[in-house]
Amino acid sequence: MDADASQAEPVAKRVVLVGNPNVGKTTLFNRLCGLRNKTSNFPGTTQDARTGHVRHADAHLTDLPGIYSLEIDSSESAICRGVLAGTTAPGGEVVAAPDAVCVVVDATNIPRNLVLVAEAARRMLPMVVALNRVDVARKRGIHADEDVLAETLGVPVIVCSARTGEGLDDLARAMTKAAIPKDTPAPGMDGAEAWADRVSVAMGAADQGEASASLTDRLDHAFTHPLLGLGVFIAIMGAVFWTIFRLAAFPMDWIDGVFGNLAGTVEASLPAGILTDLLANGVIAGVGATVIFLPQIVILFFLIALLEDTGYLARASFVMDRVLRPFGMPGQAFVPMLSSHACALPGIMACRSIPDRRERLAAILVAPFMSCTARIPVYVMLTGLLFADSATKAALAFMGCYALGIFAGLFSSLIARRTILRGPSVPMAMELPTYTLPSVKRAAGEAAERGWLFLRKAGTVILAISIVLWWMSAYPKTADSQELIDARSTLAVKNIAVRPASPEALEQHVAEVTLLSEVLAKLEREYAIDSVRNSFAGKLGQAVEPIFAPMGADWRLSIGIVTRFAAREVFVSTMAVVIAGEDDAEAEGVLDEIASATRDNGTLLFYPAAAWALLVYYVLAMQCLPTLAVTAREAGGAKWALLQLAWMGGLAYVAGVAVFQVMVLAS
Amino acid sequence: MSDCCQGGMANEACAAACCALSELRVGEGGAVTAEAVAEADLAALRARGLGPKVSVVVRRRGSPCIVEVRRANGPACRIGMTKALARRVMVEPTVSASSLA
Repeated sequence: MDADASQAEPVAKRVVLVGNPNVGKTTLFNRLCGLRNKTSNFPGTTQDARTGHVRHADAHLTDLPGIYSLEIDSSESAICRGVLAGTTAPGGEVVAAPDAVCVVVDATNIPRNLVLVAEAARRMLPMVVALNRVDVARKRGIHADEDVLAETLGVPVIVCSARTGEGLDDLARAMTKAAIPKDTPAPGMDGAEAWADRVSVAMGAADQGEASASLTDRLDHAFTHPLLGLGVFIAIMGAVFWTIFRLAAFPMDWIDGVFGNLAGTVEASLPAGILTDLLANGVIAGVGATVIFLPQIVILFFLIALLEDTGYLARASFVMDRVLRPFGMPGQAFVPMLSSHACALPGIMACRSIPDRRERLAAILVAPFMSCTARIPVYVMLTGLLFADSATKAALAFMGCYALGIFAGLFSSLIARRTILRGPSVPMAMELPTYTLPSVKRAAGEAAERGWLFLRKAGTVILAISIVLWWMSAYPKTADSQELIDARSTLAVKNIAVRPASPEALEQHVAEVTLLSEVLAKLEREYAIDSVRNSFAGKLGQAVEPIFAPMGADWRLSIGIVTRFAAREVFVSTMAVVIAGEDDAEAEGVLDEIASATRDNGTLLFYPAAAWALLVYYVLAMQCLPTLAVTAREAGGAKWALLQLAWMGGLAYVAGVAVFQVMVLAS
Repeated sequence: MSDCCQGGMANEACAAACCALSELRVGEGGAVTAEAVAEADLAALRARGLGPKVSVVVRRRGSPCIVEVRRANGPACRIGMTKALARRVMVEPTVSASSLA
């Protein structure tokens, strides 16, 4: 033994939590470890696990994915098998068999949960059983004798409730006293089930019957009815969306203001130069453009967690299964599709709930077709330009954009499932949880965790991408023209040096300053346009102009298409800069200037065929580098992100060209 | 043979007294037969508790087919499945009071 090792602190016991889904495992983990935990992925998978240190016990706890069985062919079960065998571990953790296994059993459904206990016992690892949710079990008249299980297995069995905190100190202590089971079931699923049945009968795990079965039946019937269920689903989702957009507007405005002020303060406080430019316009503006969606993401996941708690979402999955199945996606895909309407990043991450790999990949690939909120400014601008005299028509076109995105997503899923992701559909089967009142605390915790994950991504991948795109848009810097320098200095001198002696002289002075200010503003706008034109992004836009010309785009629109990768809504501000020399599209007169901008041949820049083609292109194109980064991570490889980029880009281009050419021919 | 077993849904492996879960009416129940859940693609269903000899009661017909599952006299839990899957789960129906009448 070397000296360092002999002097080291005693190593905490590595304990893993396994259990069926919805047995309160994660709540138990949070109670035992507090909020100081970290989330990391299992290498090469989309599954993540949380790790933390158990308070008041020398144990390092890992919360594994919820599984029904260790032996079935699913990614979650394979990970749990690997962890128990010591062949895999979450990123950053030691790859070795754990020191102990804590199997969490739902005290309200002991017979089924004991099957997993039996499978875990076969691993011959030190084990402890947490008989969780005893508070609910007692209310239902279930009084199982935990000593029977403890005597049968020869391992500690702790009665506890993660919700109330009952028995958690005992559980923490028991984790360090786990024992190797002395009774192991016969091999195979038959052996595990027979053992589970025998032990649960001995424990006396029977209940007094389901008192509210008729109410559950009525609710199940309503929520899964082909028409009524769909109506309820649309009403609930409509309410969810309404709440998200109404509530998120306030914090979004606040975040926008904070980042704007922060960038302004940095520019005003630091000496002008590349570092200030990088901080203000690269880092702060780039991260701000992403963080602004945090309120929508947090509210969305809070509401979804509430719905999940009630037991409704499992029923809604069956309603949506009828809609999505013909397109090769399961009912579970509806939450990712719904989330993607706020932002594709959490939408793609939510695809983890889809058990089948092919179906999950299909959902990941098509999620960005859903119109996220970042597209809204572009839709508003283009539909406003197309129907400047009719708000109703503009609104219909706006809604059509959403419909087109959904249709393209479903169509693309169908194509993918019949080609590269060909394979049988997995028939849907789900446990339908008991209807309960939702826990606001749990939903808040879930929303906070999702928000934190999003912020971490904004601070890493998205920050790096923002800096690169800022650099491409801002450099090389265009030198100030002599005319601009002269105008600035002349105005400065006029403002400082002159003190008119008479009212007439003052009037003349004001007129001169006003005229000079207008001239300077014009020169500044021309300078801004030249800066964008001469930047790397501008040059790229000019280089790709021949590619986008068949859909009616000139070099300015091509720049907008290139710079959109920073964030979709950047198209609007890019147009404001390229056409009007203003970086604020909402500034007075800018939209009018954009609407009346002309091409070199004198025709309108946004004439109907070009505007329609651009709108269709924007609905369908992959326009977000952070989304590609998340796709690569969640789908398990960059090839899927490249495929997504190529398919969406290709489809958008073909559709855009077709719309433009048909409209030109028709006119 | 019970009425529901005459619908042609039972496969060769299924005993004469068996029928598909999808053929049971609401409130009717039975015990899942071992042969019915032996297929690999039904393993997930079995892991959720719908294994051989498990008692089931149909709570909703059609798609989804919702059943109440109870094993070893334990508490019931509900499992929903598509009609296509319910057609492949074979059960030995429990004789109900209505059929005796």
